[in-house]
Amino acid sequence: MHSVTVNDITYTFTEWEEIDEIYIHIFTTEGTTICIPKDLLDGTI
Amino acid sequence: MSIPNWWGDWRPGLTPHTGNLQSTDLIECTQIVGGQPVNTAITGQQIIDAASGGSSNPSTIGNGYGLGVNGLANTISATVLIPANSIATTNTIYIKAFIDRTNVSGAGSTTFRFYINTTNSLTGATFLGSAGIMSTSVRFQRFERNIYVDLTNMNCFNTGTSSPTDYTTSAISLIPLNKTVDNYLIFTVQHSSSATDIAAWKRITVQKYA
Repeated sequence: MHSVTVNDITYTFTEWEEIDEIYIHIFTTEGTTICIPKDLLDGTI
Repeated sequence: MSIPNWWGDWRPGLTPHTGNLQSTDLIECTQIVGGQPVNTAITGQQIIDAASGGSSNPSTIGNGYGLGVNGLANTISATVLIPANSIATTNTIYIKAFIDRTNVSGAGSTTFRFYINTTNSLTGATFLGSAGIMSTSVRFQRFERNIYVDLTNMNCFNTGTSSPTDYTTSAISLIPLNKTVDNYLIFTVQHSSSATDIAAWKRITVQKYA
């Protein structure tokens, strides 16, 4: 399980997909898909 | 001698109104309080706002005119603001757009996504779905989505299904929406392999049905 905080909201997820060199989509445990800059994940995935 | 069309009371020094109502017009109402006249001014914009939100259904929330996008990154083409408190529970957000590819190489394909966020940024944006993927020499697509808003969620056509329209059966995706803050609908373009291809969400209209 991974987590990331964006705009003061913390998302948890186990699956993701790469979009481009900057962004990934994370598939949150709440069932939404969120666009996240890779650098916010600090190499944890 | 013609009679001028006055808005409200006659006032020396003010220009009489003779055309359509303008947002900057002042319409004065006078009441007598304690034997003295008290004036209240209503702006033309207040009346225009009330009319568009009250009697018109659907009413237009906003329009977007997208930029042509090239390169291989997922890039914003257009954005439409949904102002805070402009959507109420049981409203339906209706998005219609047309998409075109003005330059195609014939290699790879182009993906058209749309998101919602409280800032005009992809960072932290919630994915709402994709239009039809366009490949080879396909250049034009009409796009439509209806999003019903309940107490807490947007009821969306399955976000995982790429489709030009929602004129078909689908699973439902429930996406939380805070109606009390500004929300931006963000429309992106991404080419899969040809960085010289150019495509855009050419024109987007976002309306609401009460």
